[in-house]
Amino acid sequence: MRYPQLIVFESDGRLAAQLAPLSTLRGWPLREPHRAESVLSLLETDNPSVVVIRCGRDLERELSLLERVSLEAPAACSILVVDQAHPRLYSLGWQLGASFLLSPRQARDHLIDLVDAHLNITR
Amino acid sequence: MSDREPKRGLRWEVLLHRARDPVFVLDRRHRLLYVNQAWEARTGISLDQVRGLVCRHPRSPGPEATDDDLLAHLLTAPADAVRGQFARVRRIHHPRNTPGALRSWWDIEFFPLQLTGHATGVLIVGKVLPQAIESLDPGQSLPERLENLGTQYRTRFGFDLLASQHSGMQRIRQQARLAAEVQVPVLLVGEAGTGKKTLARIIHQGSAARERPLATLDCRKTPPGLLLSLLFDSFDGDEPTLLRGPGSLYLIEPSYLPRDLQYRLVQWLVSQEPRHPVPRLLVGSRTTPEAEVAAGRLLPDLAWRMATLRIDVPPLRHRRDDIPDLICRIIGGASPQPRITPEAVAALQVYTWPENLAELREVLRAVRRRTPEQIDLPELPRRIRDAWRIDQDPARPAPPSLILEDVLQQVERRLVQLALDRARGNRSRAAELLGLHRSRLLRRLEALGMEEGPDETD
Repeated sequence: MRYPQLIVFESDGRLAAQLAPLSTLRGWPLREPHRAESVLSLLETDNPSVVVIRCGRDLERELSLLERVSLEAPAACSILVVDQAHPRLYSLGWQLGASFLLSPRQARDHLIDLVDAHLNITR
Repeated sequence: MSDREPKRGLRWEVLLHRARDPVFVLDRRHRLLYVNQAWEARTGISLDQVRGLVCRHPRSPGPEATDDDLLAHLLTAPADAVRGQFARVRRIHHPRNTPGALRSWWDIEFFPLQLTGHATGVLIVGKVLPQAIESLDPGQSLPERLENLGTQYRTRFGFDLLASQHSGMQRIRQQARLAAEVQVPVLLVGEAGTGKKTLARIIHQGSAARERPLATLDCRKTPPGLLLSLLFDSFDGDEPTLLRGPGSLYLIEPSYLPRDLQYRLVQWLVSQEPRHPVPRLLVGSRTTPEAEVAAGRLLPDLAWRMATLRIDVPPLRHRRDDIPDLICRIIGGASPQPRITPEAVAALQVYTWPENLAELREVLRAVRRRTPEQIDLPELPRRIRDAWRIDQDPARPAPPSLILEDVLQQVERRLVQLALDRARGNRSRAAELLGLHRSRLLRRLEALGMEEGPDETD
């Protein structure tokens, strides 16, 4: 039996706070690792997973993590939430295999529904 | 970079020269006296080029400022430091006239130097903050190391990944090469886990559009409001949508698109605006477009427009001869490199793989977590061992075991799994349900080979 999990990688906890009610409602664990290795370790279990990466404070670290998630856990859904608009950053997010790439407005309006739709399918 | 070595006798220079962060020293007249190797390595500017620079630029430099003016502003001591107190500021530094230099934020610490109560200078330690999005100009390229990430990732997807002994896969390789050369919509049809997404990446990487990204959109798992926003709206102004920015767009299961979005997609395919770069459409589906149209889930107009070229990807069970090569490719980058026994390879070739490559990858990862150095038949999941056993003796299915130990173990395994399911993976609660101490449950899990999966503790 596999159990869905929600992983949020960010520095200030805002996205996690936005998703916390959903994780409580569905009974999915919400994890907030601060190291890339911890994220990848959680994905080794092959549980259905959504990884939300906030991109804007340390671009190299955040995008390197996205690359590794795409390569080492291709079954996981990766959602890159970009802090502000930058055309090259959008391109790079797609190039590195992000499943979804959201602006702050799209994250505010759709992130909860997106995560719910993705993890609910696997229940 | 300067090969200058600190002069003998100047111990403070020796101490500072190899510091990890840029270090500067100003004399009491705020003239630059010293910069260390970290600064020189970062900027390519040596001490000789900036020695004597007067660092008294309290106001932000204007657009006509030289790089020397910008550096002087960066190192200008704030009022507290001038009064002999420690100070810390955050400033932005962007040497506009230095090729390739990027805007970056610095945390700068000022340590006033004093000798017998008299100010003699200032020691400045600068720490460059991680590249943040605020430090990028919208029209500016990303730092080279970030761009290299994208380049390294996409170059993994070459046609060599399609190498195969199976004649069907060899045909697919030829079809993929053709698809890369032409700018027409391509439909990839195959069961889940057969590698359609990877094939889409290979086609994109081989095409003329490879310098622009491949974007993907899974229509099954995306709320309708977000589908509309991603496909047809702009991000905060003129940012590219999925139908304007990427070089290729890989749509997964477009039959899940709401009907109105399917209409809009057809309109987009028919009337593409030439002034915008238009992505080539790649489509992945588990079923044929004919079946989706017959079921009323897909518009006929959209069905035939997205399938100008169609590639049928075979399931893994139809290409068992490729399994040894696929195993090598999946575990090839592992360290340590595991040894895989011939019996294990044979068993993996016998199994039917209902979830195809995705399942093969998952099985190999799970086995490697338990036994990193070797993959052998006993380590494989039971369903694969059972299939292997049946294959070895097809006329005589394995009789049910009458060994009491085996039967009790099966019953115990089912009870433990039931408790874990009820407890949603929480082992402490599962132990309570079973009337066991948690440590005993953990020992039984290990003995039964059921210790996979996280302990879902609250």
